[in-house]
Amino acid sequence: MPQFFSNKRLVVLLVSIIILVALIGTSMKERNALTMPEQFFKDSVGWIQSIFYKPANSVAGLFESIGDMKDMYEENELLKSRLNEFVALSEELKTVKKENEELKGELNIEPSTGLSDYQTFHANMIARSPDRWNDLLTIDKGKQDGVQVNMAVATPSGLIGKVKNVQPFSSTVQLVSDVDRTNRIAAMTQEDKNVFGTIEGYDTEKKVLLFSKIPVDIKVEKGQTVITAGNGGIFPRGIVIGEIVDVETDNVGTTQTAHVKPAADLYDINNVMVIERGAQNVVPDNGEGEEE
Amino acid sequence: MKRFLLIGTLFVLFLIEGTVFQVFAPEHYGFDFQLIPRFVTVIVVMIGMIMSPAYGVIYGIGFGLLHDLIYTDLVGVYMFGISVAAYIIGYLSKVFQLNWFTVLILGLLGFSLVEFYVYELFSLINVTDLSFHSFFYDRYLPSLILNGVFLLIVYYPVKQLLEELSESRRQENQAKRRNFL
Repeated sequence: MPQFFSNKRLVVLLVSIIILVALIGTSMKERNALTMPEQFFKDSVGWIQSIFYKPANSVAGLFESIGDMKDMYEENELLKSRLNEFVALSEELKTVKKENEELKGELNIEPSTGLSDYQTFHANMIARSPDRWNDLLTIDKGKQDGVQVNMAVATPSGLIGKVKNVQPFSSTVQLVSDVDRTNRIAAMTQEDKNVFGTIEGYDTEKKVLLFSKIPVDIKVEKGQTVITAGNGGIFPRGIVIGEIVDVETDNVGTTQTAHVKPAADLYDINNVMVIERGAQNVVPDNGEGEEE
Repeated sequence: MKRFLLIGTLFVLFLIEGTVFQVFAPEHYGFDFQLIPRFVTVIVVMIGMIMSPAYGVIYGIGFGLLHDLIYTDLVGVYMFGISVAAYIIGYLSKVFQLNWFTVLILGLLGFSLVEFYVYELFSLINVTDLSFHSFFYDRYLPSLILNGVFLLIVYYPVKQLLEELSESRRQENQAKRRNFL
């Protein structure tokens, strides 16, 4: 066996460890945008990934739909009965909306306060980090389609994350389950009165989000729905995050933390919506963001 | 020509890890354990064994960097990990007679090196807060089996390809030496 470490190799190893630490240090810094080569690589590989992902996904979808077929009949019956309820509800909504507008008009409130206005882009997922350490997705819409950093990303059932990096033709989404100290969302529950707090992390073993900074004298209960609060900046108000499954008081005893089970299945993601908040626009332009 | 075949295969495997495999990942169907595909790592470690440690390092740097750029935010983690694993296993393999069993054991040792190194590093810089117990049982052991099975499936074709490659490299070197003299 040749000598395992000659002096030259030892030097090379040490130098490469130094380079490793330097690289990690520089790439851990808060960066607004990726460097050009990184964007180029991500975009071009993303294009090839979409070629791989779509057929695989449709094959998997075929199997799933065969599995779903047997429940279809029962589900259909249930949905039909729900439909009547829906008609009644939508009528009620119309009258309530109209009344609301009239009342707002009388009180001279601006027609939209803006917090809950948003437009959505539809995008497809094309890849996901294979190591589960980084919960990042790649989607096939980028800067050219109007996606910007920090926009909220959701599936029809609820919030899944936010846009982390944007390239011209693809972007990277950081899931809510990613353990990262900057991964915070302003959240609230809306039962009797509004309770505000922040989603401050994810418990990997229990698979719940930690909804913390709730004042201790406010009662939050199991089963309440948690939504985005919209006062944290870029997220609009009213995207469903999940349901409270457990509440505990913090060590200090001044705040409490609720465990929130995400409403969206973080592993069953195909089509996502990128949500652009319309609050900053003076005239909300609804026609632009509708892309298929 | 054969070299491009190797690079192409590695690139396709690299893409499959993030796309096709994710569609069929066990979490998708409600299982608790994780299967982490490390197909590229396994083959790069095989390159280190069958061709030479230096080649393992070169391929490790290339594909590790690609992995860092595409699938993570931190540049350098996998670049360092995969190449060092290929180097260590490449030298270790000179003690053994290489057959399918020793290649399997050494390949899985390389996979384990990468997996433990990444876990320790990411715990250190707070990318993950997974406890060692659930890392070991829910993640490491199932992935070990997955990558072991993968290695056994690709063992013969990959071994043949790598042996042809190192053979042609040897001939080139000899020809060069003859010209030099």
